Amino acid sequence: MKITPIEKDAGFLRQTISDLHEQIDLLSMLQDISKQLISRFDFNNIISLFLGMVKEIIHYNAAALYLHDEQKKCWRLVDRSGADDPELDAIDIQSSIVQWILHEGRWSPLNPEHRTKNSISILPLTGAQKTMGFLLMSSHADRDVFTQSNMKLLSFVASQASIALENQTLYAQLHQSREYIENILESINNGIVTIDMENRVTQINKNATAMLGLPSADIMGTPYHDTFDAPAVAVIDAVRKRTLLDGFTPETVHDFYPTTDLKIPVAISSSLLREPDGTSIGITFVLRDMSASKEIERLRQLDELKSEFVSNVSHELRTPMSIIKSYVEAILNQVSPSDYHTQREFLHIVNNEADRLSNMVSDLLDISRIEAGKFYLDLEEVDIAAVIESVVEHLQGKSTVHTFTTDLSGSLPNITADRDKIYRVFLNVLDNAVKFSPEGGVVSISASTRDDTVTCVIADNGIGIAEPDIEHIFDKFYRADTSDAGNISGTGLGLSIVKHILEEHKGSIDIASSPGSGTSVTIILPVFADYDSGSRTDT
Amino acid sequence: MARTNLKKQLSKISDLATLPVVANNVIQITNNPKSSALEVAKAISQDAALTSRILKMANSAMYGFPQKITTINHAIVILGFANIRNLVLAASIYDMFAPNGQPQLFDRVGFWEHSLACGITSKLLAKRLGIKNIEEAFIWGLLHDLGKIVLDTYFHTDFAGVIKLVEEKNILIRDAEMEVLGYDHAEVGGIVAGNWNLPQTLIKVIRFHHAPPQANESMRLAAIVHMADIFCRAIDLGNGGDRKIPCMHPEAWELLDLDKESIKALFTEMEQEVIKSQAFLPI
Ligand SMILES: [Fe+2]
Ligand SMILES: [Fe+2]
Repeated sequence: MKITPIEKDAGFLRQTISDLHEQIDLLSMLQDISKQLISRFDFNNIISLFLGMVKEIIHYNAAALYLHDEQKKCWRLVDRSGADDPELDAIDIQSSIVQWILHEGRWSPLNPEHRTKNSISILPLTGAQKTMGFLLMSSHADRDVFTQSNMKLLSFVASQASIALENQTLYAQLHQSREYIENILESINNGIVTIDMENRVTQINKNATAMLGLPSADIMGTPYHDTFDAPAVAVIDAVRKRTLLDGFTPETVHDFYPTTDLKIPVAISSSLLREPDGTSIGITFVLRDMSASKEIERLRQLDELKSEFVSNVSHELRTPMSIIKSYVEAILNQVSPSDYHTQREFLHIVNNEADRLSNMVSDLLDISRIEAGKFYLDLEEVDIAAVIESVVEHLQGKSTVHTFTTDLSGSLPNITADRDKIYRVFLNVLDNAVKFSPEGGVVSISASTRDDTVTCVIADNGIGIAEPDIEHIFDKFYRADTSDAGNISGTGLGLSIVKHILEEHKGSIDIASSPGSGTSVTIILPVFADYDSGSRTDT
Repeated sequence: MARTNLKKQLSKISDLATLPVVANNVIQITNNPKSSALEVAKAISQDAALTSRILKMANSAMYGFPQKITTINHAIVILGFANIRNLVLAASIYDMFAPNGQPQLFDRVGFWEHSLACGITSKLLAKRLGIKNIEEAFIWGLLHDLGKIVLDTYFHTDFAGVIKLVEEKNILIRDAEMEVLGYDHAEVGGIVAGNWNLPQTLIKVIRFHHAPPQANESMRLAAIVHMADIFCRAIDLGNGGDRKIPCMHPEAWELLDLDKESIKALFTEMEQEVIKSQAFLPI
C-alpha cells in the first residue's frame, strides 16, 4: 500500500492556511470573552457566561455543571443548560472513568465506543490547586466535535472559568470576613478609627462617626484632616504623634463636638498597627464616650440603691412590727389586768408604731402607683393653714424636745388640692425636720400668699444636709449617707413622693441646707392650679 | 575535523534519517489546530503495525485508563492529540532505531532505557514546576539523545571510535564526540528534529539539553531535561553512553529549586513509573 505524504497535497495546505486565519479570529474573540470571565465576581454571571461559551464551541444539547462542595466533600449539581436529558442524569459521576478524566483534567468523552445517538463528554474545571468541578455534556454523536482546536479551546475556557470561580470564591470569602470584622466593629460600644501611615482613614465605625459628628462613615481612604473638625484633628494629631513614638497611648480625655451645641467628653487611647514583621502600617484609636459612661454609672448606682432599699424596707417594717408584738405580748402576759395606767401607756406605743407602719406602707403604695402612672389627686377646697396646724399638733404630741412655731400670716386662702396628700407632704417635711434635729430644737413654719401662690418655709436648726446630697435628696430610694443620719429611720421614699405630689399640684419644693446649721424647705403651691385632663378625681 | 566537512556530514544525515510517512503525516495533521480525532485516527490506521503498537502503549499502566482502549479514535479522544502524536513519534523512531539483536558496541537497549527514564523524569519535573502540558515533557526526555542513535546508525564507524574513546579515557560521551567528530549528539539531534518538522520546543530541548541557558525562551524546558538526564544517570536507569555523570548546570539547578527531601521522593517516583511504562520500550 502506498501512503502519500499529505504536505504535498495543495488542497490540504490551502485548507490549513484558511483554518489558521479562522483560528486567529477565534483566539482574539476568546481573549475578549476570557477578559470578561476573569473580570466577573458574580457567581451566576460566571457560570452563565461559561456555559454560553462552551455551547458556542461544541453546541451541546444538554449540560449539567457540577462543582465541588467543600463542606460536604462531594460533587454538587449547580446548574443545567439545554434540554432535559435522562442520559445525563443516569451518568454515575463516581465511576472510575469519570474519576480518571477528572484526574487527567482533559475534556474527554465518556462513551466513545458506543454507537449511540448522543456523545457524552466531561469537561473538567481545574483550578490552580485542585479540580473545582466539571461540565457533563451531551452532544450529537454524528458531529465530529473532537477536534484539536475544540480541545484546546475548551481547555482554555475551562481554565479561565476555573480562575474566575476561584477568584469569585476568594472574593466572597474576603467580602465575608470583611463583613464579619465590620459587624464586630459596629457591635463594640466604643468608637473605633484606624488610619494608615499616610493619615488616611482605613476603618471607622458608627460610634466613632457619631462622636466625631461626621455626616457619614463613607470617608475611608480620605485623610482625617479633610473630614474631622478642627478640635478633633488637633486631638488626633497629638495622640498620633505620641503613638508613633511609644507604640501606644493610655486613655486621655478630650472634649469633642459632635454638633455645634453639644460637647461630649471622649476618652481616647491608641495603639500602633504592625505587620507580623514589625513594620508599622497604621494606628488604631479607641474613642470612649464618657458622658455615656456616666449615664451607665448612674444606672448602676440606681440599681445598687434599689437593692439597698429592699433591705432597708424589710428592716424598717420589721422594727415597728416587733415593737408592736412585744408590747402586746406584755399587755397580755405581764401587765396586770388591773394596771390600767401601764396598759394605756403600752397601747399608746403600739398605736404610734402602727401609725409608722401604716405610713411606710402608704409610702410604698404611693411609689408603686407613681411608677405605674396611677397616682391620682382627689381634689377639693383645702384650708392649708388647718392642714399645717393639724400636722404640728400631731407631731407635737410625739416629741417633748422639739418646739414648733407657726407664722401663718393671718388669712391664707383655700387652695384646690388633695387634702390627704397635702397633709402627707407637710407631715413628711416636718417629720424630717424633727428627725434631722435629733437633739431637739425649734422647727419654724411660716406661710404667706403672693400672686395666687402659697409659699411655706419649714426651717430647723438640726444637722443639715451636705451639698452633694441635696442634689439627690428627691431621688427615689436615696438617703444621705452620713454617719449621723445612720440611726434615723425611714424608707427614703418620703421626699420623692413629696416632690411628686407637689408637682402633681403644679407646685414645687426646694431645699437649702448646710451641715451643722440646719435645713430650710420651701414649698410653693398655686391657689388655683390648672389641672389638665390627665389628673382626675380619684373615687 | 573542519567545519565544512561537518556541514557535509550533517546534510548527509538529513538525507538518510527520514521519518516514516505515517508519522510525518500525523505530525502535519496535528500541527493544524482544526484537525479532528477522526482525521488523525485515519492517518495512523494506514499502518497496522503502528496502530497495534500505539494501542499497546495507550493501554499501558502509565496512562492508567480504567477501561480497555480498543480503537485509535478512542485513544486520541481519551489521551488527547499531544499524547497520541508523541506515541506515533516514539513508535516510529523505535522502528527506525530498534536494537537489531546483534551485539553492538553502542548499547541500544540501555540507550532506550535511559531515554524512557528521562522522558518519565522530565514529566515528573514538569508537573512539579506546574507546567501545563506535561505530556509534552515526556517526549522531550524520550528524544533528548536522538543524536546518539542517529550517529550510531548513519556514522557507525565514526561513532564506534567515540565509544572506544569513552571506554579508554573514561570521559563523557559528549567530550569524546567533540574530540572525534567535532560536534556532539545534541547538535545532530537538533538538526534531525528540525528536518522532521517536530515542534520548535522539542527541537530546542534536544539541541540544548547540555546547555540549557542557550535555549533562551525554552531554557526552563531544556533545564528540566538536563536535570532529568543527570538524575537518571545518578540512579542508573538505563545507559547514557558513558560511566560519568555530566556537570550540573547551576542555572538549571536553581530553576528547579529542589531540596533533599523532594529529590528523594522524585527518585522513588521515577523507579515506580519506569516499571509502569515497560510497554514503551522498543523491544
Ligand atoms: Fe545527551
Ligand atoms: Fe542523556
